[in-house]
Amino acid sequence: MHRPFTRAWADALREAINSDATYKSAAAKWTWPVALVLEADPALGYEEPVAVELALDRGTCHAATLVAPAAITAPFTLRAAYPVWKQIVTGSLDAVTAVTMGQVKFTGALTTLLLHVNAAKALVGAARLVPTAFPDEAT
Amino acid sequence: MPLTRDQAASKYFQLYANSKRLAWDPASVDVRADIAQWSRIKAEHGDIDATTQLLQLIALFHAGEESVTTTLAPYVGAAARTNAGLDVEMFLASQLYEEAKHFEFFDRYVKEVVGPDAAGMDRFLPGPPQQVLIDDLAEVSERLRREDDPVLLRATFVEAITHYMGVVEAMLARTGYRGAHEALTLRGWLPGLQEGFRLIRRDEGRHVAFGIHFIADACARDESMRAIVQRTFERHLPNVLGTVASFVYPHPLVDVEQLQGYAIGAYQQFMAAAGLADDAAAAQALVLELDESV
Repeated sequence: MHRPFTRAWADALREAINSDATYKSAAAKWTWPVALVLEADPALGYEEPVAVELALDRGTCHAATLVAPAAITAPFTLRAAYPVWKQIVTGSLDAVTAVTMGQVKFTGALTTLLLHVNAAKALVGAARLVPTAFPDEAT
Repeated sequence: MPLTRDQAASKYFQLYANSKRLAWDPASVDVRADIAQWSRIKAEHGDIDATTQLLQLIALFHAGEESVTTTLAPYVGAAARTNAGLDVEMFLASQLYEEAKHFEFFDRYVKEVVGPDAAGMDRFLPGPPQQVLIDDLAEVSERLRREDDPVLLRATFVEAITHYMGVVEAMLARTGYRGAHEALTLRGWLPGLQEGFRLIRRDEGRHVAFGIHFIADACARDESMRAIVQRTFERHLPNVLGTVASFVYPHPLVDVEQLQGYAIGAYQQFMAAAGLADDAAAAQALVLELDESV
């Protein structure tokens, strides 16, 4: 079990993406890096915002790097508070709905994201495969 | 000057011919059952705000159809000034007539069925719907009317067609009509409104088909037009999705995620069918969906 938005979780996410046949097929035409940003949440131990940058290319994740948001180079960024990410990762909130409702702040070309919406949904599906220890839940 | 052989055989002329063949009269749609049902739905489904949700849909369609009726005339003028062809002008003239009929239908429905409940229905407009359906459409239409530089006029025409037929009609109107029609059919509510939705959606399919062909032709002639189409969608997509998101209710008549899926699917299909996205399946799905009207 990995605490979200840590190096171990990022590594597990990369492995989950690369072993997910659904993602491989859905993202066959997705060729851009994506950054996922978690807002600071000191009560849960996240003193500063933190990002995982995913080097995605045609169904493969070449790297999942933990970076400070200021260091993000990915052209697509999805930024949200912890409760929103948790809802997305646990499947109770659709990621695209969260973008359209403003719960996830999206930067990048929305036209491109929506042309590849199945890839985005499959990426979330892969994230759900990561064994995650949510810090707001008792162990 | 007579139509050329190419114009008479063009997709635009075929769409114009179908417009004549499939003409209907909004005054002939029978809404008598709806008048009785409206009060019953209000009384029996007040716990889920059913008539509020229906009123929001009707308010957006009413304002949207008025907006597209009052903003389309400069498109006909632009077609003439850019030498787009008499077939294009004829189709746009038929579309202008149809938009007026759609507005007539909703205006009649509001007066005859919704009645006093329509008071204050403008409250549903502010925000994304007002921006994308009314203000921005009026703005691009006005630019189209005023533009006299031939190069800029062509670019503005492509932007205006993308906004009108791509953003408003393909993504918003047809999504709304589809979702609303499904919700009403499922419950057996408001048969007159269902029939109006069916007829209007058929017309809108023709308008969207026109937009797709126009954009595909424009981009085939001049690749720089692709960026204009892309920028136009990029600018308006947040307001399209915001409009869809405004239909969130605790007990929705139309599932917002489903509506959102329809809107995104319509965008993917429009781009693919216009040759601006590499998705043959999406393009084929749109062809099949529009088959009834084109």
